[in-house]
Formats: sequence, C-alpha cells, structure tokens
Amino acid sequence: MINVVSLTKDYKTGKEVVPVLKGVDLSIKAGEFVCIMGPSGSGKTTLLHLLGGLDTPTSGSIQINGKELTSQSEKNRTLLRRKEMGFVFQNYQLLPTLTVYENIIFPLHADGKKASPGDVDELLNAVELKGYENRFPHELSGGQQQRVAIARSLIHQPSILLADEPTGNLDRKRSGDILDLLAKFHYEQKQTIVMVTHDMFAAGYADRIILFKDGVIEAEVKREDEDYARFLARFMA
Amino acid sequence: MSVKHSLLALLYEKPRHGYELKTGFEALVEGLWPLNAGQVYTTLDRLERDSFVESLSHDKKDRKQYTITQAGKEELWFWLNEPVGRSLFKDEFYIKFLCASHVSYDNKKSMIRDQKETILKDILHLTHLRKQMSLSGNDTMKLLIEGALLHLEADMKWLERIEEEL
Amino acid sequence: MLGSWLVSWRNLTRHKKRFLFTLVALTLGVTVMTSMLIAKYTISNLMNEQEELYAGEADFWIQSSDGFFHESDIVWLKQAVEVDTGITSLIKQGFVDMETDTLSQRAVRFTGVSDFQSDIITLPVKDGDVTEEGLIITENAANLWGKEVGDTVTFEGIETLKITAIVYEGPMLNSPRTIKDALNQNFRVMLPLKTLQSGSGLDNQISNYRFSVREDIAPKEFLDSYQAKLEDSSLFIQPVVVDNQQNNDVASIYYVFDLIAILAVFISAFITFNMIHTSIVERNREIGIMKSLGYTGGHVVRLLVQEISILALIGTVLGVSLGVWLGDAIQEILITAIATQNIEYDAVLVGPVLISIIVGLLFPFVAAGLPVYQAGKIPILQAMLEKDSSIRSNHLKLSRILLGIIFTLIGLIDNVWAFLFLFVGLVLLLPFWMRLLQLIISPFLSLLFGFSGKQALHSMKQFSGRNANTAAMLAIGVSLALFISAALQSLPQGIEEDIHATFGGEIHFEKETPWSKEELESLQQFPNVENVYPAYEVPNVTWYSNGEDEELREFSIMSFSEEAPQQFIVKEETTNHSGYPEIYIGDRALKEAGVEVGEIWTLHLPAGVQDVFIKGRVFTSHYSNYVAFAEENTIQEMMDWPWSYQVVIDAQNEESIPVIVEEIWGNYDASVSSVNTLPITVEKNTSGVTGIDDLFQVLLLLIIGIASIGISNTLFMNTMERVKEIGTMRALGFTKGQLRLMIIAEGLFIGIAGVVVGTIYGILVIYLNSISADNQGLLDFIIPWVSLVLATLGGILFTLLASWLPSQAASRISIKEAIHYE
Repeated sequence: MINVVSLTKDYKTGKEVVPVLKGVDLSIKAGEFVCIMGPSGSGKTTLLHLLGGLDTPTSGSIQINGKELTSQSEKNRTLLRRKEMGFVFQNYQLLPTLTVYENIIFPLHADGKKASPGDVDELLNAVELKGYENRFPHELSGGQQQRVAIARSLIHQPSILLADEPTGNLDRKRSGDILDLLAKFHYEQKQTIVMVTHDMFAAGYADRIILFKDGVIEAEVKREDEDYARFLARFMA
Repeated sequence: MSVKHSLLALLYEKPRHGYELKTGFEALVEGLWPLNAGQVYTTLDRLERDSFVESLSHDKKDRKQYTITQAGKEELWFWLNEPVGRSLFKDEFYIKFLCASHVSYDNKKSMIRDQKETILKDILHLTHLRKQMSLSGNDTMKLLIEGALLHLEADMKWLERIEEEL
Repeated sequence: MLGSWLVSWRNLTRHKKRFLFTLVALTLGVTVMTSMLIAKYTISNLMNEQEELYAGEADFWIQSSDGFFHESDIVWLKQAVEVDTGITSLIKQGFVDMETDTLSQRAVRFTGVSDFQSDIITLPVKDGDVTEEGLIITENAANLWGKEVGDTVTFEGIETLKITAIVYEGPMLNSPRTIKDALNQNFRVMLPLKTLQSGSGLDNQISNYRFSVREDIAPKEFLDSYQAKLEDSSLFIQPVVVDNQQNNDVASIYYVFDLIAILAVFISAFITFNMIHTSIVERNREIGIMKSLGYTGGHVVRLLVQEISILALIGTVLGVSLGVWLGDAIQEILITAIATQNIEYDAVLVGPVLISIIVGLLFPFVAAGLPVYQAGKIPILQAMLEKDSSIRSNHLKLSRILLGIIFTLIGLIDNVWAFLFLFVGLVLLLPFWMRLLQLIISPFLSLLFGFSGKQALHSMKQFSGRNANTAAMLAIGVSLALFISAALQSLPQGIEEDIHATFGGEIHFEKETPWSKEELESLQQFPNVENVYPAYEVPNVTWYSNGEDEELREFSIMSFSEEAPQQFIVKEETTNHSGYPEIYIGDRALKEAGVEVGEIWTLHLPAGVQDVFIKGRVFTSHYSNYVAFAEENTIQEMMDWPWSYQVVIDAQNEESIPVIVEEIWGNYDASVSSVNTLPITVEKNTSGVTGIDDLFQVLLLLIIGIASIGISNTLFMNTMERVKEIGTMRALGFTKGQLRLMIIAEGLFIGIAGVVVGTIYGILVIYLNSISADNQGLLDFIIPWVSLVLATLGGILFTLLASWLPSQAASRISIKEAIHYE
C-alpha cells in the first residue's frame, strides 16, 4: 500500500531551481500493477526514486505500508527498502564481480539472511536461467541480465516492486519476455508493482495507468474503465 | 479460405459434427473470431462437394459426422506448404490514404490521427491479451499476438512518418 | 600546443583527490631522497674537510720514536733546498687552573706552535685573530670556561695567557661540550711554542715538524731519500695523509641512506604507476574515440607524457624544496649523534639537488612507461565498444610468477644490494601471495565484517592487480623497517660484544713519555690492578691503496704478545712463513689495500720502507678495524719502534676501573696523554648508533606513511570506478554503514597482506644478512619484536586511517546519480 500526498521535488542546478514534481497525490493499493507513463522529463522516474527512498522529496508525504518514508533517517529508509521493496532498472545494474547466483542473493545477504537454495532454484527456473548460476553478468545477453535483475529484485519477497523502464534497453521480443515474467510473478505473488515506462507495449500489462505531464498527474485510467483503450490512445497520440 | 482449411485441420484430428467444428474453431482462435453455424455448414457443403470430407456416419444423437478424406488431407498439406504473399493493398487504410490523396481530401490529418488511435487501442488490447495468453500458457497464440504487435508497431511508425510528410 | 597542455592539466586534475594524493606521494618520495642524499654528501664532505683541515698545507712531518726531540736535530732539514715552509710543534699535557670535581676534567692538551702566521695549520676562526701570538681555544672551551677573546686563562705551571682567538671545533683543536664529557676528553688549546716550552720545562724540545716541499719536488723520491737519511736516528719522516677511515666507519650509514632513498622513490614510483595505469584504463574509451578521430598512438602517448611531465615537475619542485629543508634537519640530528662536538659544517646541496631533480623528473616516466606504451596500442573499436572495462582477467599470469621466482632467486645472492631484487620478486609474486592470504583471511574478514567483509573480498578481485601493487608497497616498507630496526638493534649489541672481545684488558693508558721497567712495576702495585702489560703502537704507518690512482693511506700497527690480552680475533691465517716481519691486518684495511693473506706488502714505517708478510686477517674493535697487528718483538726490532707509550691494565673487577683511573690521574697528572676504559669505549661507540636509531624509525614511519597514501589512493580509485555498483548496492539495501565497512575491509585486507608479506620478507632479509659473508657478520639474526609489533600495528592503523577517507567518500555517493552514472 503506497500513499503519496502533495509530493514535490525541486532540483537545483546552479542558482536555478527546477521543479520536477509539482504536487503529486497518488494512492496505490496492495497488489496493484500500476504503470506510470509520460514524456521524458515529466517527473515519472523522480517519483519512482522518491518512492524507493533513493532520494528525498522537497515536501509532501510518502507512506509505504503505513510507514511514513519522508521522516525516516537515511539508514531507516535503506532498511525499509531492503525489506519491503525490490528494484529493477533500465540498465540492469548487475554487480559485475558477482556471479548470477551471488547477484540474486545479494539483497538477502545485505539484510544478513541466508538464502534457501530451494527459493533461489525456483526463481532461477522461473526466470529460465537454471544452469547460469555461476556465469558472470558480462557473459549474459541483455535480456538474460534483466531476468537476473528481476530475480534479484524478488528474492527477498518484497511487497513492492519498483521498475524503472525495465524494457527500455531491450528489443520487442525480449521486452515481451520480461513483461510476461513480471505479469507471472504479479499473478502468482500479488506484489504491488509500480512500473515507469514510456513504452505503450508495456502499458497494456498494467491494471492502472497513471499519466504524467510536467510534474503532475495529468490523468489516470483503469483497465476496467469503459473507454480505457480509447482514452489512453488519445492521450498517447 | 482459412476457415475452410481450419475445419480440415480440426477434422484431421478426429471426425466431428457441425457444432463441434464451430466450437473447436472458436477455441482455436481463443474466441477472437466468432463463427456462425450457417457459415460452418456452407463451408462443409463445399468441402464435401470437393470430396475433401465425407459424411458417412451419424453419432448417437443422430448428428452428421464428418471425416477427412485422403484428398482432404492432401489439400491440407498443400495449403500448409503454400507460402502467403502480402499484397500492397491488403491493408484497407492504404487504399483509403490513396483515395484521400486522389480526391485531395482535407481531413487527412485527422484521418491519420484516428488511425493511430485505433492502432494504439489495438496494441493495448493485444498486449493485454498477450499477458493473458502468457499466464494461461498458450504459446502459439502468444506468438501470433507477437506477430500482430510487430505489424502494429510498423504501422505506427509508418503513420508517424506520413504525418511528418504532411 | 598551449591548448593541449591545458587538456593534459584538465585530465590530470579530473580526479582531484587522486591527483593530490599522487602528487603528495611523489613529493614525499623526492623529499626523502633529496634529504638522504644531502645528509650523505654532507657527512662525507664533512669527514674529508675535517681531515684536510688537520693536514693543512703540510706534505710531510717528522716525528721521533722517543716522543720529544731537540729542535736542533732538524735544523739541517729546515735548511734543505726542497723544503718550502715548515712549523715546529710541541704537544704537552697540562691542566687549566680551575675548580672541578676531578683532575681529569681540567686536563688540557697544549699544542705549542712556532709560527702563528704559517698556513701549514688552518683553523676555522669564530672570533679574534688566529695569526696573533697568544692563546687559541675552541668554542666549547670558551663556553665552559666562560671566556671571550681578550680574557685571560691561567694554566698550571704556565703563565697566564690572553685569548687571542676562539675557533670552531675541529680536528686540530677541540674541547668537550659539557663538564661531564670533560671527564674523558681533554681541552685542546694552542699557544706559542716558546711559552709552552718554558712553562713545561721542555726547553728546545718539540714533538713534530710539519713542512711543505717545493712544488717541483716529486714526493715519492723525496720521501725515499729522506727516509734513508733518517734511517739511523730515532727521527722518522712520513707523508701527511688524509685518511679518516681509522676514526670512522660510516659506510653502513651511507648504505642505510641509500636504501631509504631508493625505497622512497620506489614507493612513489609505484603510486604513480597505479595512478597512470588507472587513468588510462578509465579513459580507454576516450582514447579509442580520439584514435577514431585520427589520433595516432604517438599522439596518445604524447598527451599522456605531458600529463606525467606536469606531475613530475610539480612533484620535483616541491619535493626538492622540502627535501633541502628536511635534509638540513636530518643533518643536524646526525652530526650531533655522530660527532662528539659541535662542528661547523656546510651542507652540500648542489650535487644532491641535481641528482634529485634528475631522478625526480625521470622516475615518474619510468613508472608510467608500461601503461603509456599500452595506451598507445589501444585498438579503436574494442575500446569504443567496450562494455565494462573493469572486468579483467582474474588469472594469475604464469610469466609473472616465473619472473618473480627468478628475481627472488637473484635476491638470494650474497651481496648488499642483491636483496633489492628480492623486492622486485616480491612485487611480482604478490598477487600470488594475495591469493594465498585470501584463503586464510577470508573467514576472519567475513566473521569480523559480516556480509560487508564478504562483499569486500569480491570487490578485491576486481582490482586485484592494483591492490596487489599497493600491498607490495606496504610490504616493502614493512620489511625494510624490520630489517633496519633489526640492524640498529643488533649493531650496538654487536659493537659492545666486539669491544668486549677485542678491547684487551680494562684500561688503556697512554703516557707522554715511554714506560720504564720501574714505572711499570710501580703501576703493577696500584690497588685493584691485576696486571699491567706494555703495549706498542706504531703510528702513521703509510701505504698505497690498490685503487686506480694508488693513493696514500695511513693506519697504525699495534702490538700483541703471548702474555698481553688479545686485542683481535683471527679470521683467516696462513701457515706459511717468510723472512719478512709478519703482520695481521684488519678487514677494512685489507680491503682498502687490495692485498690478500699470504702476500708480501710494502709499508712506510718509521724504519723506512719495509716489506711485510701478511700472516692473517683479523677482526678488532680498535680503529674501526682499519689497523694492523704485529708481535711486540717484531715492532721493537724490525720496525724500529723501541718504546712503549701505552699500557694495558687488567683491573681486578669492573667496579674498580674508575678507582684505578683516578689513581692514574693522581700519580701521573701532567704526563697522562689519554686514559681509555672499556665501559667508556663501549658507551662512546654505541651512543652514536642509538642516537640515529630514532631518526631512522621516524624515516621508516614516513615511508610506511607514503605507502598508506598509496592505499588511500588505491581505495579511492577502486571506489570511484565502482560508483555505479555502489549505487546499486545501496539501492538494493546496503546501508551506508555496511558500505563503509566494506571499503574499510578492503583496505584492511591490503594492509594485512602488506604487513604479513612484509614481515615474512623482512625476516628473510634479516636472516640473509645475518648469514651474509659480505657484511662482516655485523648483524645477528634477531627478530625485532618491538618493531614487528609496531610495524604491524602501525601498518594496520595507517591502513585504517587510509581507508577512512575513501569509505566516507563512498558513503557519500548519491544513489540516484550513481545509478545513472556511466
């Protein structure tokens, strides 16, 4: 459950203050698959970073599963992130010196936990990377790397998965596979997924689409809404 | 053409009666192509006339049971092997665009925009379908959708290109 | 061109901290080198200067084996055509009229000279006029006696004299610095010959005649002919020889200076290598792009060479300036430790500064040579399309290990410099050691730092080459620290043992006049005296060194007999005999003379030119082993030296030594030339070493300090190359604390590896030196435990400090920016 109220974020470049988020209110239910879309520079990635506690807002409030994130110390934000959240990035961000296996269990270890080999095996099977455990990231293709990243983001069974352009660097076929994978995990484990993308082909996977423009939520639409497709199509076109 | 051969494919599997063929077809296309009973029977008649199927027996409820013949099997193989060309004017929008230019239609812009909107709608629809096919494990259907999506992506790019030309 | 220099500067300062750290390391390396060179050159120069000062303008001197002789004995010589100018002197003991606790504190050695204007003697004037006839004293004497030029001093038996000049301490005149030092050292003053002669009742008596010959006279022939003329008298002629080796054995200090200088430059070079190497690896892609735009390999190399030039130039300018200052400070400390008095000296700057500038400018290029060469060869496409430059081969290169083993084997050769190869071997083999250590340390590191520790071990692999190099620097620093402290620890101990073994008796007493039988018997009756043995010492024996230019050298021949306590240890002896006088010769003299045991050798003795047979090679603590021994009878009969001026006294026990010394002064007062005791000799010889001990400890700490700058630099580079990964780790839930721990664990691993490998090699080097035949067995195999603990703790502490900054920097990395960092 994510609750965002009057969230703003300014960036300072030299003397200039650039508002990136200009007051965002948003509520995401547990288990929802939300897609945030919008042109580049509209603030969608910034929102995701703020939700993940990677950055602090200028004002406003973010509640993650009932806990206020903005008032937490840096350390507590990190702890919250590593317990409740998983991250998937556009450029995979695998650790080059770790093997696939070690990359996947990294979040568990960071939390001082042991990985159960069964869990890892299951995940490896799910992302179809069984047999690749001891490979290094640079020995994998982009799609394989992103699948490792997804496995890594889910190993600690977070309630929230934050994905920043997860298909941005992949071709149509591979990005389809990644989206299928996310859909499958979402279907089976009911995480809350917040995915930032500008890819129309990814948007169809979400239950709800939030449209960003110039630092505010311009519109949002749910899959069950009657003119869902037409509305979105109009917006995007 | 493809309905005829789809029926042959269904009959190749096992003998079926008319209604079974209708539901079988619909299941094959995941209900995305509804078929009415009349269409099924006219097609069956044509197939029987061409000696591709026979209706020798009846089932317990006394419905006509169709069976594929050797000629039918050969026709099915022939069809499966036949590559499919793509005519330039298969896409109706191409003809529309051609005609619009021919008559100096003023609303070309909105025509393109509406077409794009429709394609986006289709993309959203198909991606959602793809998600469902993926979850239900229908890989062949997923592949078809992927193909359609690639076409849509290309159409979209083309529309963007002609939009620029205007 | 200005533009491209500007580009080089920008490239260089792109990573400000790295640039700064490298520059500091470079500067410190040059600083240490410069200061060591200055110290070495200045001391060496000082030693020569002092000796030359003592020799003055004199070419020859006449002495008598009887001690004093009559002025008229040499009138014929003074009038000889070959003689240019000359000066007669009388050396006499006496006492200053003053209130002191003991007589010895008032002891004065007078030098009466016939001519104050003569340039045969030169004195370093501080105040007054040395050419004016009167009393000349030294700075120390003036301070202790509270006198200035124009004041008067009264000496026992001699009239009150007016001070005409005060001079700096020097070889001719010197005085104790404190009243305590005065117990064992007399005040040496100069006064007119006539005054001394009449005051001491030695009218017309003199001790020597120093003179110079006309320039057209060939010294060799002159010496031969006059030696022949004096053959039948007690007088003898000797050339004045500048040879300070009897008084000083500074070679070992020079060696340590050289070692520290080389070490400092070596470590700086390593840091430079690491920096340039990293900088090039980082810019692989840029270099590829540059090349795709038409840059040749030569262009790329030039760009890099410019960067190194800037670095070298700044480092050298700063380093040499600091080095001059530090060299001056070190010089002060050394002179106070080595010399017993304040000596006036000039620091030698030009040579050391020139060498430092040349080395300082060149070594960064040598260090950067390999990476720069490789940069020139970077293939364009591969570099531009390179996905992840940080992934490098993890495999140990077989060639590196082989080369390492070869260098290590060369390092085992018995030579003072060979072990530098051992260190080259160490550098090459360090990745292998690191692997080995990783196996051992990993569990502890994981236990201590948990997941951060494990993660650190992973990261270590990524930069294994650089980390190994850094650990190697520390290892070399630690091992040399251990070696030098072992040397400094065993040196005084060795010196003490040597003195005890070869001093002979407990007290050496030298009188102005030869000992008669009766005098010896009366001395034998002194309380606490166990035994008394007469000793003979032929002074100023000259000979030619076997160097290229066959220079004159000078030493003494001491006597030995069946009865008297042994003053040397025989190291090598031949069973052969010859009709010539047989002598045993000390190692250093043997080496300088270039002769072997069993050979015939020519000496200029008081008796004239004499061939001697080298019977054996010995070790002794006397005259720094720059001496020879001959049997008492041989000295008396074959070397024309009939009198014994010295006695060796066996005391009944150690406690009675001061009592006997006091008794000697009481009985022989003004005729006492010198009294030396075993404990005082030990103290005098070891205090110098102990004095410089602290200095070297500080220098070595400085070197470990430079090495730790290297660690900091390495960790900074490791961190900055991993910004993206660090960002990812943080995004995945690594806390700042965990991250800091990880960086510190990485540093700690480098530190531990450096300390462990350094300790192993240090002990190996100590062992190799202890069994080395090449350095005269001066070093024992001892493990300097205190230094070991200090080096270990210091190394690890420095490492932790060095890791602190990079760990802070890493924890400040913004996750958000890091993730988008390319």
